[in-house]
Parts: sequence; C-alpha cells; structure tokens
Amino acid sequence: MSGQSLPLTAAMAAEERQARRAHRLRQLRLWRRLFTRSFSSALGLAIVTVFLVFAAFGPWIAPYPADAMGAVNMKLSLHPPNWQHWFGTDEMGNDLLTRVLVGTRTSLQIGLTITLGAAAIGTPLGLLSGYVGGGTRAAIMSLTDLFLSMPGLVLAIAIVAALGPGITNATIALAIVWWPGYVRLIDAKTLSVKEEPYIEVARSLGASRARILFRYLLPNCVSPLIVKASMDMGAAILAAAGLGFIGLGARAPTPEWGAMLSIARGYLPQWWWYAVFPGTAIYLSVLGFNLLGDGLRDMLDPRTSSG
Amino acid sequence: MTVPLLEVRKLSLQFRTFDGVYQALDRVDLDVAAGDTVGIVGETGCGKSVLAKSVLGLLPSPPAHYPGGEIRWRGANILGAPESRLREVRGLQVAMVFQDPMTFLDPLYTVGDQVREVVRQHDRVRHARRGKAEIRRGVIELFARLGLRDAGRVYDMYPHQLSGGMRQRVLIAMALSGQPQLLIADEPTTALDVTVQGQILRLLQTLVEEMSLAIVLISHDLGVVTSICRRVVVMYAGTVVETAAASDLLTAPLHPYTRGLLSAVPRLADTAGTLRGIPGQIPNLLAPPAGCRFAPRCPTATSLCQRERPELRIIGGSAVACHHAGAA
Amino acid sequence: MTSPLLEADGLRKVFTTRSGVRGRHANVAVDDVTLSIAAGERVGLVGESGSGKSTVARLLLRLVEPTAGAIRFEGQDLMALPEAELRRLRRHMAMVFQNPHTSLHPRMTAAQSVAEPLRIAGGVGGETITRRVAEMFDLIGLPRSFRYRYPHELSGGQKQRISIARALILRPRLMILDEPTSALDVSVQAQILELLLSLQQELALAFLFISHNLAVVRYTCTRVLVMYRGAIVEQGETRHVLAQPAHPYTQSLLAATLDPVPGAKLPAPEVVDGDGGDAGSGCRYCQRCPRRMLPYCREVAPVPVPAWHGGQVACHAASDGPSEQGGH
Repeated sequence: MSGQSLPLTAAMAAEERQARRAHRLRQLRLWRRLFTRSFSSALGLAIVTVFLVFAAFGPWIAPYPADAMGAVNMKLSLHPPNWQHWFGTDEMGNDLLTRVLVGTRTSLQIGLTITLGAAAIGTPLGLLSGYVGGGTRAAIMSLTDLFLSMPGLVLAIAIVAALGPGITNATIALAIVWWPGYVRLIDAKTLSVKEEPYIEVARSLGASRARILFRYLLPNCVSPLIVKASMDMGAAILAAAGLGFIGLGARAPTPEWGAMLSIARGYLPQWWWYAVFPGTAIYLSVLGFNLLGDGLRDMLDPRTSSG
Repeated sequence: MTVPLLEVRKLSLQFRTFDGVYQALDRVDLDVAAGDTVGIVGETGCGKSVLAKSVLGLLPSPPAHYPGGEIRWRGANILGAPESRLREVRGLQVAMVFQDPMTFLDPLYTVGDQVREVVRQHDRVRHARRGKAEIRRGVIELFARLGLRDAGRVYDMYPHQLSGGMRQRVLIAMALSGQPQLLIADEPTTALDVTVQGQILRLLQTLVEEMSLAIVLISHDLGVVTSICRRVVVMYAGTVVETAAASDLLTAPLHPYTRGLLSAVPRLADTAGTLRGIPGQIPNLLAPPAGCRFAPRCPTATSLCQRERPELRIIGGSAVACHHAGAA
Repeated sequence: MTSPLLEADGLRKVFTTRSGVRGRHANVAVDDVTLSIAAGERVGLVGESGSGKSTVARLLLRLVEPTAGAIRFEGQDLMALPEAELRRLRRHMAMVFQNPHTSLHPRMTAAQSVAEPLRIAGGVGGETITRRVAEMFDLIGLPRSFRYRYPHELSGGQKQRISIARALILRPRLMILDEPTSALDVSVQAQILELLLSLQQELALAFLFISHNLAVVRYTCTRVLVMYRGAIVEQGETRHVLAQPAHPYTQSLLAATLDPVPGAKLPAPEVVDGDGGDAGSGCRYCQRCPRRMLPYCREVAPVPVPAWHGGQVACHAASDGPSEQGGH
C-alpha cells in the first residue's frame, strides 16, 4: 500500500486536468440549473444583464448621442413618446431614451463603486473583529454601531454638503455610510466559522493567524459577500438616485436618473413621460439586483446547493 | 397465534432529487407482531430510518414517492392514507422515539409542557377532554414509571437542565403518552454515553414486559440491537438482506454482508484476530447496481449475483436474500 | 528506561463561566492529569462525555492553555516555549479529529488539505509538494484521482483518510486521535483502524487514541487510561485493565459495553443517583459508585496508587485483582 516516489508523468498531469474540468462542469451545471429553475432568479439575471449592457455600450447604442450631454433643441422640447423618440423628449429637447441609457452607466458605476468600496473597508475590519475578538472587537463594533446609528442618507447628505456635490463625492459619502453593514456580516460569519473544527486543525498544524485569516476564513466569506453585494447594488443605486434627486449627485448636464426625476417633478402630470421613464429605470434596476441577489443566496446557501 | 401489528410488504421508496431519482428502499418486507422485539440494523444509507418514517407517513410526498408496496397496520393499508387517518395512528397506535433528544425537544418550553401538549393532541383525536391538572398528574406518573426521579420537579424543568439520559426518557414518555401498541425507536441511544445507554435499553426491555409493547429498535450498533431484540433485520442499501433470530444471526449469519459486519465489529472479548472491514463502499443509490446490491463488495459474488436481485428465501428459521446462502 | 516522548505532569484546566451578575462558575474540566507516552507506544484514553479527554488532547498540543501543569515533548518544556517555537514543535505532534465532515475546509480540495502542513512549514517547492501529496495518497489507500475532489464529494471514511494523510505528511512522532472513527460506519471503521495500525507500525508512530468505545481501545492500544470527570481513575496495560478492572467506574464501563454475542447481558440498573451536582472535596465518582464508603469517599479524594495489574488506580475501594469478582 505504500507507494514509491513516482515522477509526475504526463498521464498524471492529464488526469489532474480532467478531474478539475469535471468539477468545473458540475459547478456550471448548478449555476445553470438555478437560473432555469427559478423564474425570479432568471428574471433578475436577465434584467441585470440588460442594464450591464446598457452601461457598457450606452453611448454607442443611444439613438441621439449628442443629447446625452445636453444639446439644446428647443423645437423638440417636451414631445411625447413617438417613433422618433421612444421615450419622448425633455424640456431641452433631448431624447429621453438616450439620456436614460447613458444614465445607466452613471448609476451603475456609482452603485458598484459604493458597494465595492464598502466591502473593501468593511471586510478586513469584520475579519479582524471576528477573529481577534476581545478589545479589538469591542472597538470595531463600537465604531460600527456609531455609524449605524446615524441615518444613512442624512449622513451622506452632510458629507456631500461638506465636500461639495458631484458624482465622486456622492460615491465617497455613500461608501462611508455603507461599510458598517459589511463589518457586521463578516464579523458574524467569522465568529461562526472560527469555531469550525477545520480552523482548529489549522491551528494545530501551526498555521499563523494571517494564514488562517486569508486562507481559511476569507474564502468562507465570499459567498455571503457576493449575496450582500448584489442586493446592496439595488439599494446603492437607489441611494445614489436619491442624492441626485436632491441635487447632490451628478451635476448637470450629466444624465443621472435621480437628477432627471428631480426636474421631471415640475413637469408632472402633463408631461408624464419625463418622470416615468427614469423612474422605471430605477425601479427595474433595483428589482433586477434584488432578484439576482435572492437567486445567488439560494444557490450559495450550502443547504440548498446539492453537494 | 400472535396478532400481527405491522406488516410491510414489498415497500419501495424513491426520492426525486436535483441529481436524479434516489432509490431509498427496494421491496422491503417487515413483520412485527404484538409484544415482538425487532431490531433493524444497518449502516449509512441502508434505509432503516426512512423505513421507520414511512410507517408513520412522516416523509413529505414530493420528493418522496412510493412506487410500490404496502404498509398494513392491523390489517389495513395505511400507505398513502389521508392525514386524518394517519393522525389516528400516530402516537396513539404507533409512536416513534428519535435519536438526539436535545434537538427533538423545544428549548423554550418545559418538558412537562411539551408532553402535555402531545397528550392534548391525542385527546383531541380521541375526542376526550381532560383538565390541565389531570393531564399533569398523568404525565408525572408516566415520568416516574420511566425512571425519572423526582418526577414532579422534572415536569417543570427545561430540556437544557436535564442530562442526556433524562431527556431521552422524556422523549419516550412523549411517545408512550398515547398508549401505543408499537414503539419505533430510531437510534435512541446513539447520542448517549454508554453507561446511560445500558439504562435506557433496560427501560425499553421493561416496557416490553410490563406494557406488552412491541418495539422496533433501529441502530447501526449490532451489540445494542441484539441485547434486547429477539429478532433482527439486517438492511443494506435499501434492501433487507437477512432476517433471523438474534442468537442465530450472531452464531450462524447467512448473508455475506452480515458476516462482514460481524467480523468488522471490534469486541471486548476477542483476544485474537484482526478486524476485517468490508472493502469498497455503499453503492450510489441514484444508480444502484442491477442485481444484488451487495454484489460489488461481496467476496462470493458470481455473475448471477450481478444480474439478478435475490429474493428473500427461508432457510431454517431465517430469511436471506442471497443466491448462495445455505450453500456456504 | 528511555525517556518518554511526551510527558504531562499535573495538567489542570479550569473553565470559568460567568453566570449572571452574581458570580462565576468554575468548571474543572481536567484535574491533575499526569501521563506519559513512550516513542512508538499505543496509548488509549477512554472516557464518556464530560470526562475531559478531548480537553486533555487539546492541552497537550497547547491548543488550549493549561491552567496549571507541565508538558514536556522529548524533554522540551512546552509551557516555556514562545509562540513561534511552539508552532514548529507542533509539527511533530499531529492530531486527527473526530468529525470527518467538519475537519476539512469545505473549499479546499483533498490535495490542498493534505498539502497544508507542508505549505505552513514552508521551504518546500511546488513539485515536491505535489509528489509528497501523491505519496501520502498511496499510503492511505486512496486513488490519486481523489486529490481534486472537494470534501462534499467524498465519503466519511475517505475524508477521515484525508485527515490522517494530512496529519502524517510531516512525519510526526506522535499522533493524537480524538475519536477518529466514532462518526463512521462499522465496516469503514474497521478499515480505518487497520490503516492506522499498519501506519503506526510502518512509521514508528506513538499514538494517543481517544475514544469512548472500550472495544475499539482494546483493539488498538497496548496501554489505557480511564478518565472520569476530569481525572484519570485508572491506567494500566489494556489487557489487564479490561479483563479485571480495579476501579468501579471502569467496571461499569465494561459492563455497559455490549458485544454482539449471544446472551450478552445488559448492565445492572444503577442503584445510585447519577445526576448530582459537583462533588465536594472527595471522589468524583462517589455519587454513582456502588462501592462507596460514606462519608469517607465523599470527603477524601483518592490519589493514584499502584493497582494490582501494575498500573495505577485512584480509588479507596479498588479491586485487588483476579481474586475479586469484577470486570466483564
């Protein structure tokens, strides 16, 4: 039963690759299964994909690219939806479809940056607090609680008011407001995983704290992170639109859904399309991310994912 | 002539899962008469637990699916019976005790309250009404009978305040509160210390004698099963491979799997001899082998064994599902 | 007499929990444990839940800090070592844990898990790692293609083999096994036990085999230590201790172990109240002991004295050996 030391032959390497491929295929099957089984997840994925495409290619697929940055065309001002302008036009005569499309990029960009930024700040803090415990945890948790006790949007407004309006500052403000949620999540996950026998095994093998944190604990946090991040995207987009609505987000003439809604308010109810289309865009994008997040959570939940 | 209580005939069970159809049970037979002590022994995946749960209709029907067979209770088939009929059977005629007392007791209620709740359920089905005090007295009496000292105090205690053995006695009390004729105990001692195990097994034995209760004891531990059961059923991968009197099973096992199991168990008394495990592993029940399910691991398997599933044959006082039994 | 590989002297571990605003509750998990293991020796540590056996294992590796006591590995005092030195020394003492399903990182392949000790130790190149891992797989009897499987694609027995491979890859001198087969089927357990014994021989390892199962310990260990509620109550050569135990607790453990043999008798009912609170200053087994001599046993704690079989026993009423009625 004890083997001699064999050199790595080509056959063994090939066998390795094949086994890895088989494993990956099974993973893909699981993913595919999830999205074909659950209508809402599939819908979520579809919506998000559409918006991602818009964000990526917006400026190129928009019918009136000049309108994206606010050309002035008073003759076309406030035309209802028609065959030339599917979403109608705004008060400057800009094609609303173009502006909504290009606005996708803005909103998604902000959403993604906020979420990633918050995760980048919150995750290490959460890992540290969960694993080290004691005074460190008390300190981090107090800080987190401090931030959590302040109404998020109000704090963001305060920060933006201090830094000055604009996409960058709005993003910074929201990321600052967002990170505590990640700390809580990662801290909780770390606390529970920390007790797992395989962590004790690692310690018994002489693994350093750093190794345990990065090699053992962090990979376990990836799933909940992905789920939270995708659900947060929706909220982040909404928050960014909220800031834009009160004029603290993107500056004109950059198309941004919230800002558009703010102006559109004055044109209700007669020129309804001005508010409806950006509003629907916000609604759909948030819905899409939420559904996607739900689907990912069901799939990544070790209890429901078979095997 | 003993009264047949439970007759399971050719019961098959499948689970529809993400990965395919899981053949959990394949034409299983089981007989329990009044006052019988039957043990079901088998390893992981043999189907003993799902068999027990099937008797009480505890498996949710998708994904569980019964392609064939019958479960007869006192002559009447209860497989697939409506909930109303099953509720008459559950607890009042057939009761079940599960493995880990800690997880089967609600930590938020006192044990007395939990048993009382069960009693009230039974009363509802029987259309009887009893007052709170009367039920409490009955439960305390039952606790005392099951060896719980200071039963009155125990009634008001919470599960976490009790030891493992006491919790298991509470579960047994719950099961017996409906005065059933058959008690199915699924690994009742596995989660307990070995010294407590002896006490619980002794208790079960006493119940059989004093209350003429029939017991089906399920365990992976051959020693436990043969200590109090007169008859033993050995299961493997969803099939029954041997049924025999406990003493016959231990001295002259007929099925190669039984023999393998016996030679794999470390014993206190053996001073010589190596342990022999059974090579290989249990078959994947999503795609079980066509013939005898044990054939891939059997030292005496032939091509016949791989083609044809053996039926249970009577040899002496035992039944074996093996093409070559009796010839060895 | 060669110096022992591992020595523990007066090991003590007290867990303090805060109960409410009022006070702290001290739980003495391990109380004055002294043991030694020689190179290549197979020592068993037996006890039920609450005996402290798992805590002892963790204390020996300093995974848990002892409240008091000394531990020496190959003469080196473990308590005096700084963290870095300790980590390096831990490579000579490997541990295999009980539950195979949770001992492996769910997101690491089998090969990665087995390679971990090598990576942690450092200084080994990628090619060497791959080769050593492949060798380990051969050693533990798993096909090399299993290297890329994740834990959820492996059976319990296979996972336990991976844990064993991981423990052995650095060629430790001492292996501590905490109930390595308790979560496995009997037939798989036999395979793993055989594997462990052959590996022990081949690699000249010393074992500390922790189990609640006396039969398994009889099979695998030449010397045995019996623990009850934190203290070692008896130790000696396995064949003697299990044949005619000196301590009443060992006797009750023995009586409760059910071998699958015809006519196996259930242990006698416990005459004494078992669920009492903490003992005072006396013997911890006093409350359940059939041989207790009140009030002496309750007030004076027994110290280990030589037992009839050459080992030690901590009991005021120890059996004197084969002339007494005791044991199995």
